[in-house]
Amino acid sequence: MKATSHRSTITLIALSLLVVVLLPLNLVFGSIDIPFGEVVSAVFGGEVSKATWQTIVLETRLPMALTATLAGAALAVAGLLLQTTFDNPLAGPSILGVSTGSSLGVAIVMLAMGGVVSEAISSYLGILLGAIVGAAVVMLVLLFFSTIVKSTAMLLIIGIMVGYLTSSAISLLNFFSTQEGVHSFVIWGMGNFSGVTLDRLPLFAILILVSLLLSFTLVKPLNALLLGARYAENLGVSIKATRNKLLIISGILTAVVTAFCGPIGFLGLIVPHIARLALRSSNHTVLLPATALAGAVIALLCNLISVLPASWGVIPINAITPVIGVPIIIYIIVNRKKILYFN
Amino acid sequence: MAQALLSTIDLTVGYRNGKRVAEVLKHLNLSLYAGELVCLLGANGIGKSTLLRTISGVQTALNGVVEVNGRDLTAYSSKELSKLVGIVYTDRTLAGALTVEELVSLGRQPYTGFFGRLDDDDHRVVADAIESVGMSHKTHDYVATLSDGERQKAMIARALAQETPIIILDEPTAFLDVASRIETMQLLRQLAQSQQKAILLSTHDVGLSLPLTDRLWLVTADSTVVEGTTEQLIADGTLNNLFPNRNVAFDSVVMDFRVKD
Repeated sequence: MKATSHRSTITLIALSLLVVVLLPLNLVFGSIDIPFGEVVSAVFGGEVSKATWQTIVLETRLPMALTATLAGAALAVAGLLLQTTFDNPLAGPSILGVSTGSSLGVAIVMLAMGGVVSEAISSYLGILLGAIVGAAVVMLVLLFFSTIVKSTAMLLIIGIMVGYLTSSAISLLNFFSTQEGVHSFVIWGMGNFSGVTLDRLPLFAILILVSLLLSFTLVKPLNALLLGARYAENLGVSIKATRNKLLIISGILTAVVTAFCGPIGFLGLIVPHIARLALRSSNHTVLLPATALAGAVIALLCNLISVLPASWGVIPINAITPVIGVPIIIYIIVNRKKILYFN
Repeated sequence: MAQALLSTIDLTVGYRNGKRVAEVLKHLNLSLYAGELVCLLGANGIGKSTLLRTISGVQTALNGVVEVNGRDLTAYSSKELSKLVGIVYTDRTLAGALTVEELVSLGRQPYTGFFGRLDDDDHRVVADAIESVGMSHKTHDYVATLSDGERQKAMIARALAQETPIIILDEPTAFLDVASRIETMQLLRQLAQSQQKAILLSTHDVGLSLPLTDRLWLVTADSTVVEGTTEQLIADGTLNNLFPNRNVAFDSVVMDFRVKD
């Protein structure tokens, strides 16, 4: 325990430091060159030589960096909860079709509005509601099948199939909708952290932070579930209630992020693995906070990469996450005999 | 004799699927006492696991009653039950990246608070449990690095940390080599005696269990279970009928089955 807890402390501190370093870097770099000193004065309310610089830092880059931090943590934790619930390390919100469910909800709302995503509150609340309902429907389908299909691997495959069905419904919707509608949906579908403006940030942050806090109340049953449902039950854990809570929390986390940032792939799947490998532990007492922090780090990193082309524009997040995610997944699968938590 | 820790009264176990009822084992009147190791012996697929699941409260009985400490099993909450009956399965777990100490600590969950934090008392119980299965030198090792036999000992220690008067093990020696099998059986017998636990395990390994068990629960060909000491069950021929339609017979000298002459 001594060695493990030592490593845990170091990992948690290192991840926190990375967040602290990457957040300001996300404010400094962007499509427009702003001198470092000017960024600092903009953030701390000092004199800024150009008014536009202040606007860019405070109203574009700051909310974008905070959104990336929260969204990364949210997707990573959602992934971890799903992996433990389904007793399968390859589960994740995008693989199980939860993100796709959210997408369908968003597609219906967006296309119904004819692609005119206005600044009105009703517009983005509609999108948020669509995403939550979409995620909930997929979760309910998964819950329903979980009462029939006992094998979690088979349940995972059902999730993937539901995802395909949902995608085909989205394609159909796109086929029948206006060009403007399709355009705004496609842009949204590429994923980006700039969709949360400063005035929407409080709602986004509260929804994510409350769900993350709720997930921390489930550390004890999550650890029991490492032994499998039968052992957890023998330890006095109510499997049904716990599973429902885990699915609801991971559903809300996924839906909120999807509504605001688009369906962002891979983060939910890979970050829990990065955290486990760094910690060398699956003890949720440390794994859950490490996963949240690592999620924030990876999302901030992706966001930083997305603005690298500077004046050329912004790379969609979903073009970056697979480049980071796929090698990690392949590494894990190839080395699974050597990786502790598979054995 | 003292009161049984666990007893079954005209118990019938099996499965109910809509209107169809499949009775697996019928009219069971069995008892389990503190301080004894009992082996549930029977052919594969005859219903040993179904019986164990039913008397540990995971599965509901088709008929009859299971009593723990003289009270109907179904009257206990799952919280109460988790302090009475500890279970050891051979399920695959995702516990490889836990240390032996963390794994055994999970056994304290029925006693710990909301976040599962262990106090000094819990730490002492965990250390004692690891010590009594002879794994103290591996306390900080990862479960993934253990041999099959060591892993089984760690799972037994986890059940001990749960501090239940009854421990039920489903085929605990199934995947072990012969040395680990004997060690595990000896460990369980010694734990039953030294800690006054009632330990029930299922096995189809006759030769291994007979010399070490205090009593037997023997699944017979007519779908019931007969209990008694090894000597009793050899004497009345029950043991000889364990595999009725197979070409084997019980040899009371070597205490195991052999091919019929």
